Amino acid sequence: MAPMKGLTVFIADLRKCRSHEDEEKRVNKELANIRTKFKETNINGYNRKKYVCKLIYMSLLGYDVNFGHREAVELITGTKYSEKQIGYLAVSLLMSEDTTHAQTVVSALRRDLHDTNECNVCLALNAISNICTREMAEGLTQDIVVQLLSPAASMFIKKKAALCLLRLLRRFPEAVNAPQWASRVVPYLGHRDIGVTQSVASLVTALAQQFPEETRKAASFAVRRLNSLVIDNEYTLDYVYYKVPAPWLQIKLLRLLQYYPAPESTEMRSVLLSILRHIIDLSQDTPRELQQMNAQYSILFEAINLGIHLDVDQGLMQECAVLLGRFITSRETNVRYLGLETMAHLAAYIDRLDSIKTYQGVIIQSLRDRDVSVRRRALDLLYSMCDVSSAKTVVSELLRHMALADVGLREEMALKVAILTEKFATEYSWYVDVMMRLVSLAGDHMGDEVWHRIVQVILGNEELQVYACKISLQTLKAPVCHESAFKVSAYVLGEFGHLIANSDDSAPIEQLKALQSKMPAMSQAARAVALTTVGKFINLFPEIKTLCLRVLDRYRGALDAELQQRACEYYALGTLESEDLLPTVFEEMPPFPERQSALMSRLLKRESHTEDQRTWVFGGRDINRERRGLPASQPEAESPAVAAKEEQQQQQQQKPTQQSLSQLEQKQPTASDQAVAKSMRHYARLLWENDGILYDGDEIQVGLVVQYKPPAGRIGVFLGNRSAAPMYGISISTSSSDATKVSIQPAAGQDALPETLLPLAQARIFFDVHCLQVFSTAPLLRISYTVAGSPTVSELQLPVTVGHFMDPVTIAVGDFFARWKQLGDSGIGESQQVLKAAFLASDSAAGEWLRSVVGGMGFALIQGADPEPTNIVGVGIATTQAGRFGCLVRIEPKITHGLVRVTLRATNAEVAQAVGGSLRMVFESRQQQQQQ
Amino acid sequence: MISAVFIYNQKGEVLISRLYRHDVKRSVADVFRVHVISSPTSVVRSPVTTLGSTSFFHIRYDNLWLCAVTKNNSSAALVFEFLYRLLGLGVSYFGRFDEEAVKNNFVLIYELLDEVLDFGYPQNIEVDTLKLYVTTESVRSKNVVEAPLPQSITMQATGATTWRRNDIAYKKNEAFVDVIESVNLILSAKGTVLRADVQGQIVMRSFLSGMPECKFGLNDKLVLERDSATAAARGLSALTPVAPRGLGSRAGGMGGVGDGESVEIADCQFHQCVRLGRFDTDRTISFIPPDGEFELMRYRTTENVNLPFKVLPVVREMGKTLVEYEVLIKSNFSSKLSATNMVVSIPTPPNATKCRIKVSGVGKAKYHPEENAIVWRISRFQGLQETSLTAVVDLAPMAKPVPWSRPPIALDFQVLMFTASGLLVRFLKVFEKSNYQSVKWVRYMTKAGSYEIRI
Repeated sequence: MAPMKGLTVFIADLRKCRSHEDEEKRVNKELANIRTKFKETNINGYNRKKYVCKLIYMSLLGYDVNFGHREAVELITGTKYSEKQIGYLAVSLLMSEDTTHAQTVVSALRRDLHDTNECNVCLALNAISNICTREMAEGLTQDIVVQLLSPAASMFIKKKAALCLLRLLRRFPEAVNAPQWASRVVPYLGHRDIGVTQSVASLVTALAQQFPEETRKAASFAVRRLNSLVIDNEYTLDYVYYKVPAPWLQIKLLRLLQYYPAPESTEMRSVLLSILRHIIDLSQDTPRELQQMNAQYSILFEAINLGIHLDVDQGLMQECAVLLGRFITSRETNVRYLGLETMAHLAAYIDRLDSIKTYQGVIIQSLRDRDVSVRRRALDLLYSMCDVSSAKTVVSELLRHMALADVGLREEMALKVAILTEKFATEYSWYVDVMMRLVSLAGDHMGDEVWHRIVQVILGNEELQVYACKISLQTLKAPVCHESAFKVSAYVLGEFGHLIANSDDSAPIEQLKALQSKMPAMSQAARAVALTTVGKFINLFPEIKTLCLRVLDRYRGALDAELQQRACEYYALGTLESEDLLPTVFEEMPPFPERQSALMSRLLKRESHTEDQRTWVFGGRDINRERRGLPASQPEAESPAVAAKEEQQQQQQQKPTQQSLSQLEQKQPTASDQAVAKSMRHYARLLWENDGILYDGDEIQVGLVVQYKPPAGRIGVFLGNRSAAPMYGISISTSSSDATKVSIQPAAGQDALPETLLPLAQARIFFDVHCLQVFSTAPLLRISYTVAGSPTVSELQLPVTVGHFMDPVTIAVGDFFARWKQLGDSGIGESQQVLKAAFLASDSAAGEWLRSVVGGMGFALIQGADPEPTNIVGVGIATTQAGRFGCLVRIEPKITHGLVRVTLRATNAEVAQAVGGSLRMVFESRQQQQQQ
Repeated sequence: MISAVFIYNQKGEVLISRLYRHDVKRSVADVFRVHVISSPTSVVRSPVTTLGSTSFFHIRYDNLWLCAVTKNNSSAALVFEFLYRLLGLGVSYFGRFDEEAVKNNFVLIYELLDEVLDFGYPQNIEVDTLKLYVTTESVRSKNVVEAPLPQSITMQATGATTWRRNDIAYKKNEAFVDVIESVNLILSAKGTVLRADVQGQIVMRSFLSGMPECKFGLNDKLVLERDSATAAARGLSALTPVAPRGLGSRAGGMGGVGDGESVEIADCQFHQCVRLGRFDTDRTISFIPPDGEFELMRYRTTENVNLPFKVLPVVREMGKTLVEYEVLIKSNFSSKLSATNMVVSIPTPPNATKCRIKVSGVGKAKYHPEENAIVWRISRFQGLQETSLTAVVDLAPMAKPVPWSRPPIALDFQVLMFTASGLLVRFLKVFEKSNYQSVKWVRYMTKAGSYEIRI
């Protein structure tokens, strides 16, 4: 680039400034100069470039540059390379959030992307990767894909385009519409140019994590490419790095393959295996040169990872284990680190841990490694490889090491020990012993989760409790007691102290004394736990009540608000006259509901996901299988803790199905069964009567008055306040799930609802309802109000069906069955059902009731049309704004059987169904009433 | 307790580094440099910076940074008083106290620093006393002083008047009194006074022989009330005390100072030579002056401040491309007096490009982009006169529209023979055993402190 004198002079000036103030003055002066220059219209490209350069320099020095964006964009649209370059630099540095020019920038970028000059295309690709805004992701992805796929584009551009896409994909995965082009990119893995393949491999790896389906073919391409590279030695000398051919590409491909399951075809599988074997064979001899060693080892480790992932050949795995065993004793720190990490991966997948266990001693040695990251990996590996048989050794080793470990590692160590102990415990005593030792040793370095978890486990397992109590008392009596251990002990004694109260050395008084002796040295939180324990003692051991009260009394004046409140409340409970409240408050805690151990979630949280996802997590085989959606294998020896947990889990699962019956009917939380039945009855009654109560609750009563003039109608809603307090913020609205079929709106020209509704007062509102078409779902009435400070919302189904829009039609007696037959033959809409109607026999007025129901539903009864006198037939026309539908009904009671057959025939199937449904509801509610 | 004293040049290079206690290391000098001197972010620099448990107190003078370091909760007032005294010491030893002077007198400065602080506690920092025994080649070559006997040093350093030798003799006995006031003002855009106060100092240069006893009188309220009260008690008519004519001819031209008006002084402090006991009992300021220049007293007034200038600014933002200014300045003192070196700095928006300025009246105005301001210089501005400026400023479009913060207009000026507080020296009497005649001169000057008018 030609030097710009003005720029160099300016920079020299700034360098010469002796103080910050001088520099600021110089910058202000220059800014003013540039502002005036930019205001002039006839500024040439060179000067514009120069001034934009100065602006960039000032902005890099930290000064606020609040103009010149337009000039930067103008530079981009220029023709000269150097001007474009500076323009892009300015755009990426100065105006990342500027929206006014965003569109211009995007179109300029697009023009450059399709430019014939290769340099301009590269500039544009670089700029996109650097700036990477959402607009660019949305607008330019297609153009970049075109560049990548275009046969005319040079290798150089293809590489850049692939990396640019990768950047956009990582930044805005949802904006780039990757599924559309992902499958077309994949074949480029087989491109003859290694550089292109390498860039594309990175892109495909990112794609594979999000769209495994679209990039399915990548696996076979990767295998073929690896084959040609490793076995057939097809590569140019340019890509040989210290005698290793294209190591970075190999690693990327091996890693890419880990995102896919093992290939289906045996041929592929054997090719892949031969590649892996080849790589492993190559690494048998240790290379001399450091760089070569690095390259070779990194390929090897990736190959082992892939082998573990594929999990196909046991022999290969054993060989890997031997190799890794060699690495973890290596003198190179890096090699040890990688060896341990890969071995943890191996332990996470392999079925038989024997091959790894032979190195247990070495791994435990590694906990004392000089390098902290190696120590960390060793811990991870130990955690992963632990199983029932080795648990005791590993845990005791870890505990022994805890005191020596560095502080940063201790928390993780403690968590892992806690998890392992819980998972592989075979004896109660061992579990309790280990955990107590753990909290005493590492209490300062772990969160509350650990001691919470101990309490949860003890509470959940009855067999543990007695032993835990004994140990707790011992802990409290010991000369030193860690705070977390104190908390656990205090809690356990408070819950189960009575279990050991019979023996002499653990009498209630002893327990209280032990607790009291340690209390003063503890923190506020621990003392709060202890106070609750004392409260529980009052309940458990009435004989030491006075002593307990004395302790509480002392804390009633505590400075800490929490302690004071607890003491005061427990004291008041203890001195209460009635004896009922105390046992209720201090009832034994129920076992904790089973959920994911907080320890696990805490441990997993520690893993961060910054770049490519890992294909595995630290931990044993089971946890990794769960991650992949496979069932965890049954542990060989089921530990008591685990068994008890599973039982609870099963009990838990049965519960939730019992809810959710008729939630539509009434969504109020007070819906007990009886209330539901009651409101059912109200609802059914309103299906054939014009006024009545819709809902009768503790707080409100809703009454309805309806009047229909098909296809329209008017509904009056009366809301009564049944509570003892005034009601505020009342609103009554309606909603129809299908507004195209039935519309319901507040009637015009009525008074607004009152703001408050006094007890026993009533408010009313009218709604106009129009039936536009045949509908099946009834509109909803929504009532919200606030009473006694608690807002409530009730949703009620309105008794509005298509049957309500029925006009009675009288026809000649003889015509009925002609029509009946006609409709039956056409088969358009018939609904027939046999319903229980026991009331028919017992109730003499049942016949009359039946008539009034059918009449109320809007049918005209045709007397004498049916040969059987007890049968009832009727005719009606359902009227909607869209059309009219004839409807015939025939009800045939079988009094002796207590049954009734209801048949409906209509010119519209939905009408028949809806009216039939209404009738069924009416009969069912009547039947229920009868039974009660 | 001061743990260390550092002197830096403008770039932050350490020129002088003297540790007094072991609780700090020499490397704290770098900490101060990094966090304060070369820190680009701290635009508003607090004189006290606490970093960790270490506090740095600094003052700036010319191109120097003077910094005292302490680990304790020391009295900030004491530390700053010490720093300013150190500054005064430097000025009186080298004439000018700047980087050049420090570089030329390393040895002397270290010697002085050894004397003035001991284990972090301030010791004798009186220039006259120090000059008796801290003498170096360079100083000696300038004003030849006979090396005094060790006894006389002890005598003076421990005696009643440590600030004055007793063997001073002048042919012509003269005393100069300078009343220098700086007036601070913040005026709101609507013209209401938000803050107005005057900080004054009375500096005296005495060239008097022997051990003269001086008495000094001002027209401050307490003294005048007492005088009139005693006069009334004696049954005399309320005679207003008249300043003795002997105060010199230069006092005669005082137009701005109200005669006979009394001034309420909010608080004042005196040089150590003033007998505070007598001031407490009968409000007379009596003292034996040190030889040469010293600050006799410092005071502050907040009531009835005579503002020397009235500024009426009108600033209109016309859309996003133009700002119009109309600034009118009126002088508010007697037409016999005049202000000199007046600079009015009218801030412009940071995106100003071109300014068209017209001054009707006196002075010249120019746009200074490096300060983001129109600077209007008036070399001489007569009393009871007015001048005005109109300007149109073009603005460049901004990428992100940021509203202009409209900083205030700032004025800088000097008015001779005018006191903003109205303070007046009523008399200065000199008594000496030999009863010689002495000539006394009084001069008044008002400067701008921070004289700001919001727009």
